[in-house]
Amino acid sequence: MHSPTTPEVIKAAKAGSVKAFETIVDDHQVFAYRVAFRLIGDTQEAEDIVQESFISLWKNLDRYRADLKLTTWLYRIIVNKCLDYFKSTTTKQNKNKVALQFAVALADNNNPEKEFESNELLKVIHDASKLLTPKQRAVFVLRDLEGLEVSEVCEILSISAGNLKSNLYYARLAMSEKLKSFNEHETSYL
Amino acid sequence: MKCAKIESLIYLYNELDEREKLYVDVHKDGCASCRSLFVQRGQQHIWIREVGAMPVLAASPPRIKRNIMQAIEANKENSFTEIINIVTMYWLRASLAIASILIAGLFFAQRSADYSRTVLNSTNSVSNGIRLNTPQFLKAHLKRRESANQISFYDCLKQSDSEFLKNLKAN
Repeated sequence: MHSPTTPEVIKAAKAGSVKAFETIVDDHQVFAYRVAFRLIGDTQEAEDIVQESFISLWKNLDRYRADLKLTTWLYRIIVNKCLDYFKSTTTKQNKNKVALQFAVALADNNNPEKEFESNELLKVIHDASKLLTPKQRAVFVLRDLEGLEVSEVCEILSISAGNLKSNLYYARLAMSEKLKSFNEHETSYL
Repeated sequence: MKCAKIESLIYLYNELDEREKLYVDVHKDGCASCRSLFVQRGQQHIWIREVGAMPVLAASPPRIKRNIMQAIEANKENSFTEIINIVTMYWLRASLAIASILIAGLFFAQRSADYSRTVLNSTNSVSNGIRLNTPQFLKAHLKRRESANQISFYDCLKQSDSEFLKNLKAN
């Protein structure tokens, strides 16, 4: 995960220090890209969203409240940018053309069988996530893939716990259907 | 009916409170299909967590960072230029506004002076029973000017001309 940025660095960035903001970028760039890529599923678009998000963060840093975690705020910016991306007309046209590009470095490179399984699993989840609505996808990515607390997901998406559970239920149901086939495929190897 | 409700709760097992979890646990202990779904969901949860733990790396993180920092530097420069522009614009606007007020003030001051003079003359003429814009009015006006020892612009030009001709002849 990412290392937390100290309040002094945030304060300096708020005061207009580019150097301090560079530290914030260094600390959060990896996680920002991961979230954007998991939501969008396209490397180029994810890069663009990360850049736009950090620029937006810089422009609105003076509105940052110390009681809110910087990561929560950044999550909110990224998710909103991704939801805007889904709303754009060009995206709707290209929705089904999204290429399966996985910028993933697997930890266990010495085990080709495990690597194959992981790639298969990733492909199944990626395919299933394409069937979800943008909000369901956001809830699924934040809660299940990023492992955030319910309260934090609600804060990022500005939704109630009931709304979150409803979206999460439909997302997991869709995932479950796709993962069943993966399960059968897995057991057939045994 | 009860199984349908439990199934939906199984999908949200990690989000349930202790009482709801107990409710699901008691039911699945006595229901094979719900128990099977619970086990299946547990396995799926592990797989999803496995995918969540996989690192997702950008093709070129330094390029992304470079682009961000360049955009921020440009934004900072733009903000400075914007402030200068705003200040210049306001300064210019304020100067123009003050100049306009001064010109308007001078205009109205002159106009009110002319007006009071005209009104005075007109009032005198009218009080003498002479209508405005008539030869009688002009005659009375000229008479008054002569008595005040004021010469008209035309006379002034005429005098200047004759003096000029005199000088010309003398030379």
